[in-house]
This record gives sequence, structure tokens and C-alpha cells, in this order.
Amino acid sequence: MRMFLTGNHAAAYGARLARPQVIAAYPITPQSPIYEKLSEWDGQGVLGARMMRVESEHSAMAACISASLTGVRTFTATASQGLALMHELLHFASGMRVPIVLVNVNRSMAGPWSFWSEQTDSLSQRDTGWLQFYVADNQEALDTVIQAFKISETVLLPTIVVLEAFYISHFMEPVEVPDQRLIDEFLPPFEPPFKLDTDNPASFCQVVSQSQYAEFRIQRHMAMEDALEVAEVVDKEYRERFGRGYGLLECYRLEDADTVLVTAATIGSTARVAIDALREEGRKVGMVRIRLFRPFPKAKLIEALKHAKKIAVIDRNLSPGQEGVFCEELKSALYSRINGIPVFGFVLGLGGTNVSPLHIKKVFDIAEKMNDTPLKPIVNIEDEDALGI
Amino acid sequence: MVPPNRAVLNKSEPLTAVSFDTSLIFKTGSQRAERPVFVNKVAPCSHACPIGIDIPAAFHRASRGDIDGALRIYLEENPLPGVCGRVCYHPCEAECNRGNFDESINTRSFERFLSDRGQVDIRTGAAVHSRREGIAIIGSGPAGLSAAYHLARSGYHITLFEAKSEPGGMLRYGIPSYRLPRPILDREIERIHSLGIQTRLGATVGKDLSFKELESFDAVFISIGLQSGTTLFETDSSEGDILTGLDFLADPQRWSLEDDTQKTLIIGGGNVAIDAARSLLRLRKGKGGNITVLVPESRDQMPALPEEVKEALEEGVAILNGWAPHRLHRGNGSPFSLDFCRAEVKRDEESGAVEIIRVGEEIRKYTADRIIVAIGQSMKSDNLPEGIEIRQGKIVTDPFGRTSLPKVFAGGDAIGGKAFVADAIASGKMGALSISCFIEGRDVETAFETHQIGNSQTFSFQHFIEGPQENPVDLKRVVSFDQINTLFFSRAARNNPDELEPEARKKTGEEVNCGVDPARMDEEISRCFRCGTCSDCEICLDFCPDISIMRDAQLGIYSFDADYCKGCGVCSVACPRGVIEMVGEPR
Repeated sequence: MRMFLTGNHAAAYGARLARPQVIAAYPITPQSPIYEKLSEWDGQGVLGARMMRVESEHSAMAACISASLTGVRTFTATASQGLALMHELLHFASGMRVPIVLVNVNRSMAGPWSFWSEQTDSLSQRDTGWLQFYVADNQEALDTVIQAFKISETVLLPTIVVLEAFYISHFMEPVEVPDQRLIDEFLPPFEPPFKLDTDNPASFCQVVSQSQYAEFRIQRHMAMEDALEVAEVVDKEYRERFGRGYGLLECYRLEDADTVLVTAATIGSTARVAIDALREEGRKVGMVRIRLFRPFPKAKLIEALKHAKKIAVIDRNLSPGQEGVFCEELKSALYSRINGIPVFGFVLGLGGTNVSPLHIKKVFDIAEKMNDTPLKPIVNIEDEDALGI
Repeated sequence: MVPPNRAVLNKSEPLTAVSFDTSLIFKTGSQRAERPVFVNKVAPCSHACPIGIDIPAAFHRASRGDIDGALRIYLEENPLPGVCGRVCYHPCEAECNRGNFDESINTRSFERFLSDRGQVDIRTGAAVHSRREGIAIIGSGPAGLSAAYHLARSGYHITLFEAKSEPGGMLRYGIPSYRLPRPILDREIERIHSLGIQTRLGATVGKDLSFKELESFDAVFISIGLQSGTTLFETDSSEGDILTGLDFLADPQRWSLEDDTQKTLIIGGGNVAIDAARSLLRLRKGKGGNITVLVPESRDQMPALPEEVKEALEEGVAILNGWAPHRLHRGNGSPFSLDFCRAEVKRDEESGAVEIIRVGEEIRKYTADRIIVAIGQSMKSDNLPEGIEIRQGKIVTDPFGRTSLPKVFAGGDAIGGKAFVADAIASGKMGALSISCFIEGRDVETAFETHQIGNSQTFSFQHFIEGPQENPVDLKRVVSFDQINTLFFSRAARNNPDELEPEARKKTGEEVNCGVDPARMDEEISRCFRCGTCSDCEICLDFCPDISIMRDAQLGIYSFDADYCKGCGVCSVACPRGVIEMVGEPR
């Protein structure tokens, strides 16, 4: 059914279609409408999940972990400070291999207080062992939530699906909401290989030896590696069933592109417009939008970028003292695989400031004029003198 | 699909740390510096109760629906719960910890509720007639009944001598039936008699039979009370126009006081004066226009129970405070003219002696057809055994009721002290302890101290009978309000009894207090903190992070698992009622 939905409500529909059995969450701007929509369905008796009211995001995640250990499908949603409060338990969740799906609505971290889109909250969780998807529109939000359950439950790792604050969470778009019966065929009930069972008592997550710990860490990493392939298979199956798939990367007009923009989330959908315009002018530009951030699809990126002559990266985040996180990750992936291609790291859109097609055109202009990979991120695209071009 | 890396892993290995073995090898108890100790303690209500009833234990049983069990706990210490549940001055309520939270528990109504609704055969578990010794008890008021009851439960043969035609003493001849209906009193006395007590009514010892005739008894307990009303005026009252409150209350019908046109003056501020006024009001079918109570004390100082004063005022009894009788004249026309003067009263807290001081020169005159004097009671000492020491009109005893004569013990109003029913019952209990110890050759002081409740004047007779217990209550420690974890309680208003409307009750003479109905009593029972009494709430189990609190299913008591308890103290902090405390481990 085609509906006119905000990104938050699209994510809520995705969660509901996945038939979770336990939802524990705590409201926070700009995620609250997800929680409210689910509560509304709960009130109408159509949700089918147990909604848990908890006193904090920390408790929400603790509840999801415990529920998931009993073998039920669990969902939660949060943003910004809430995700930061969950941080400790995010490690527990992946370490205990529970396939929780979490929707995080990217919001800038305080202080000072700010409520707009920025990726620092979720990127700060890079090393917690969670898969991370960054989506570009409302339809992709719904589809990715459903895919995330299947991927997570296959590799037994939790997934964060990232929506951008307001650009996705509160903007309305036409969204195709799949038929429940088809989703049920795509996503069978969760059957974990082991679970809490009062008839067969076990204790979880106890103290282990040093070598046991090391072994579990390696296993978790191997599961992450598996997730690359699983995510691709699941996305392919989804495309076959529903006619929509996204890949781990979105490659846009890469054929014969000399200068390639690498970015993530809604800047990617804006970039399509800018690239179309530049192509009209005859400029050989294209884009790779990174959809899956963890595990990082290195091989796919190398393949996609092997013919590029210059790479520009736009990050809506900044790791202080280094650069944008996507840029850094990309360089790490390319190093000694594709040598000699300059990579220009731009940091734009912090605090939810707008990144328009004109900004993106400017990024291509600068990248085409520059030659060497700069040591610092480019945070000001207006002052060409400062850039030495 | 099976993820590729997973395929190469050993499938029997779990993906995260899971143990199907026990973690009991980690004996975390070695980290402990303190250990929790579960000790039931005394609640402040029990400590304040002259009879030392284990009130919270009874509330606990009642909360489980065991009304009979709750009544049995009362009966372990108090033979007269139906009486005390109506007329007691309830010092328990004044000390109730819940009073610091919202309002004290309505303990008196609870006692009445149990006595009206519980069924207990007190002979069950009592060693009736298990001993050969016989004990004579003289006087069947609350002190005598209490001594008889506790001694009979201890196995002695009891003979109760009563000068009047019916047992009960002041309960029957002093307390009006609108406060204590006679069927209630009869039922309580019948329960005491069921312990195989011999009663000889209409037998005044020292007159109808001599003390010498009691020599075959192994001990004698004198509880004859204060039978005479103190007189005030040296007048010939043979005509009955001046009588004592006690004489009037003993048989209100007898004095031809029904005529409500006769101005009647009642002098005194104690319960007898108020009881006399209200009884007279009922005799006059609720017409109180010519009844006046003249009280030397101020309203706040009146020794009568405040609720009785309140009810008397509701019924329209006129009470004049701060006036004392000065001079009595035989008047013309009207039989009496009385001068009274402004007065203050000083009360010696220790001896209870009262001094009335005239203040200023103001004199008022009052005319009256009849005067009822209710200013005190005295003992008729002419029938007491020869040689017994008497001082200030009371039999002299030590704190354990031992008189100057061997084998002779005494209690109740006849030995002084507080004059309330509960105090008389306590005094009878003390006499029973003393007589038991005397016969069994035990030291009564040691026995009392062993079973003394806190630093009060009373002790637990049940502990005395039972000896060491499986789950002892530490009788020496009283739970204070700061030991109550009030987070586990929500505020709730006290449930007070219904009362008959003043207009109705003063005409009919029916019992004023209707008690608290069962639904509201259920609420009241759930309000009780049960200070110091483990109530199986198992909050300690819920909070223990080491699952180290263990319940003995048979005894229903709790202990901690020394192997695993880390001594964190969470159980002690969580315990709502001060049962669990932390004590240092020996180093």
C-alpha cells in the first residue's frame, strides 16, 4: 500500500511489519514519533508486541538484551544523547550476540544543545560491534529496518539503522508499505541457536578467561565479516520479492566518472540532483553513497572507485583532531590498493546545516582544481584563496 | 543461509559466554565484612502496651486472613481483648511508628475486631491442671481474672472468690454498658472459666470465710480493688441525695434519679464522673438539661479519656472546668446549695496524688437536688488478712506483687499505680509470674528481666511459658521510626469506627462505638508497618544481588547463605520493617 509518511513513521511501519515481540524504548527528539506511533498501535491492540516503559535508554537496551536472550525479536529506537546513554550496553548486546534492531535518528550531540542532523552520535558507536546502515530516504528507512532483522538474525549481531534528523525523520514522502503476508514470507520467526530457557538453566555473560575472551572477540569480528555477504544476499532477495534493493553502496553515474563524490545518507540523494546537472554540462562526475558503514564494504568500494581519478568525500560529522569519519575510513580502505588517487575530505552540514546541490557542485569544482590530498579536512568551501586554488 | 565464517566454526561451541554448569564454585562470601542478621524485634506499640501484646504479629496473621490466629496472639497475653478493644486508653496508638508517617494504626478497633470475629479455644495448647498446686484469687476484677487466667494456663488449680453476685469487678459494676455491653464481658469471662477455674460468688473472704480457711492453698492473690467511692461531705447521705459515682454506676436504677426535672450535680473529672453523667443521661432518656459535671481540672487536664469527654459533650452533658466544691449548705426549698471556687489541680506524676488549689476569691453558688461525688476510690481494708502491710490505703507490695505476708500476693487497684483496665490486667499477669516463680522456686526478678519487653514495666507471658523459641524475638530492642523503610508504604487515612448518632445513642443506651466494618478493617490491617516482625514480604529476596537469602519452608524463617552473601547490606536497607541488620564479621 502506498502511504504518505514521515521517515519516523516509515521506520515504525517497518518495525511493526517485522513482528517484534518486545519493544523497549524511551522517547527523545527527534525519535519520539516512532515510539508514539508504536504506542498508538499498542493502544489499538494491533501491535502484537509487548511495549515496555523504561526509565532510560540504558534500561531500554538492557531490557532488549534480556528479552532477546529469551529468543524473542526485539526492537528499539533512540537518538543522540539516548544512544550515548546506551553505549555501555551496546557492547554487551553485540558481545552476547543478540540480534536487536535499533533505529537511531541522527542528532547532534550536546553541548551546546542542538537537535539537528549530525552523524557523530552513531559514528561514536563504531567499535561497539553493531552493524550500521545509513539510509537516504523514507522508503529506504522502512525497507532497511525489515532487512536489518533478517541480517542480524542470520549473523547474530545487532543492527543500527540510521535516519537523519528532520531530513528523514520529519519529512513526508510517498512510501510503499509492503503487504504483511509477503513480509512474513521474507522474514520467518526468530529462532536463535541458544536462548534463556527455564527448563534448561544456563547463565550468560559470565567472567571468562583471557584466551576465551580473545576467542569470542575474533568470532564476533568474523560474524561482522559474514555480515557483508549476508547483507548483500538479503538485499538481493528483498529486491526479488519487493522490487526494491539498495546494495551495500549506491553507485550513481560512475561510468567514465573522473571525479567521484563519496558520501552517505541524505547528502547522497541531494548529490544525485547536482550530478545530473553537472553531467548536463558534460562534466564527468559520479557518486558512491555508502549505505553500510559497519561492516565497512572495503572490497565493494575499491571496485567502485578503481577508475576514479579524484575522490571527494562529504562528511556530516567531524572527528576532532582528525577529519570526517567516512573520509578516514575510505582512505584506510584504499590505502595500498588504489594508490595515487587524491582524496579530498569535506566536512559540511554540521549541526544540521543544509548541504544543497550548489554546495555539492562547489565540492566538485574544488576537487577538480586541487591536486594533492590535503592533510586537513576542508571545512570552508567559499574561500578558494585559503585552499590555494 | 549459514554465514560463511560460522560454517567453519565448531557448531557445538556457543557464540557467547554461556554456562550450563553452576557458578557456585565462586564463593563470593569470602568478600564479606558484614553479615545480615534476621532478628524480629519489638514494635513500639507492644512496648507501650501495659500488657505487652505482640501487636504486629497479630496484624501479620490477620493480613493473611488468619483472624483466629491473630486473636490467639492477643490471648497469649491478654485474657480480655473484647474489653480492652472497647475501653482501653490505647497507649499503643500514641507510640505507633505510623503516627510519624500519616496517622497511627487504629489498634484498639483491631483488638475489638479480633475478639468479635475470632474463634479460639484457649484450652488448646494450655496445660490445664497439669500441676497439683492450688491458688486462691480474691476478687474477680480485671487483675484477678488476669492472674487466674495466666496461672490456669500454666497448669495451676484456681479458685476465684468474688464478694458480689457476678464476676467482673469494676468491668461489670463500674463501666457502663454503652461502653462495654454485658454479653461481651460475659463471653470473655466464660472463656477464662473454660480453663477449669472454680468460682465462688457472693463469698467475701475475711467475712464469709476466714483467711485461715485459705491455708490449704499454695498461694493467695488479693485483687479486691478500690470498692468505695471517696466521700466529700460530712453529711448524712442515707436518703440517697448524695451518693458516690461508684454506687450509682453499680446499679443506676436503684437511686430514683430518673426524674429529669431534678437538678443533679456530678463532681469529678475522671472516667467515673463522665460515665455517671452519661449513664444518668440515658436513665433520663436523653434529657440532659439538669445534669452538670463540675470538674476541678481544666479540660486538657481531665483524667477521663478524651474520647469519652468528647462523646459526653456531643450528647449535651454540661461540663464546667476549673471549679472545685467549697462548701455545702442545706438549702430552703431546693435540698442543696453548693459554693464552689476557682481551682487548679496539681498532679504528682509519680504517685498520682492530686492536689486541688483554690485560685482567687471568686465563689459561685449552685443549687442541686442530687449530688454524685466521683472524686476517687478507696479500699475497704477491714477484711484483709491480719498483719498485711497497708500504706496510704493501699496494700504494700514489691514490683512483683509480693506483700509483707508469705504466700500472699496482691495486684490491681488495691496496690495502687495506674487505674486503667489494661494496667490491672498487667498487674494480674505480674502476680501470676510471681506466684509461678514462688511455687517453682525460681527467681522472679531474673524471670521478669529475661522476658521483659524493652525497658517497659511488662513482659511476655507467652515467652515465659514457652521458654527458648525457634525464632526468638529480641524483646529488648524496640524498632524506631527511622528503621522503617517508608518507601514501601503509601499514605492512607486511618479507619475510625462508626459511632451511633448522639441523639439516638443517649436515648437507647446502646453501645456507642460500632467498631470498624470488615472491609475498612482490611484496609487498616494493611496499613500496619508490622515494625520488627518479618512478614514474609520477601523484599530482601528480590533485592539480594547474590540470591543469598534463604527461606526455611518449614519454619517460615529466613537466613543468609554464608558462602555467597557479599555483605552488601542491600537487604538490610530494603527491609521495610527493621528486621534485618548488618553486624561486623569477626576479623
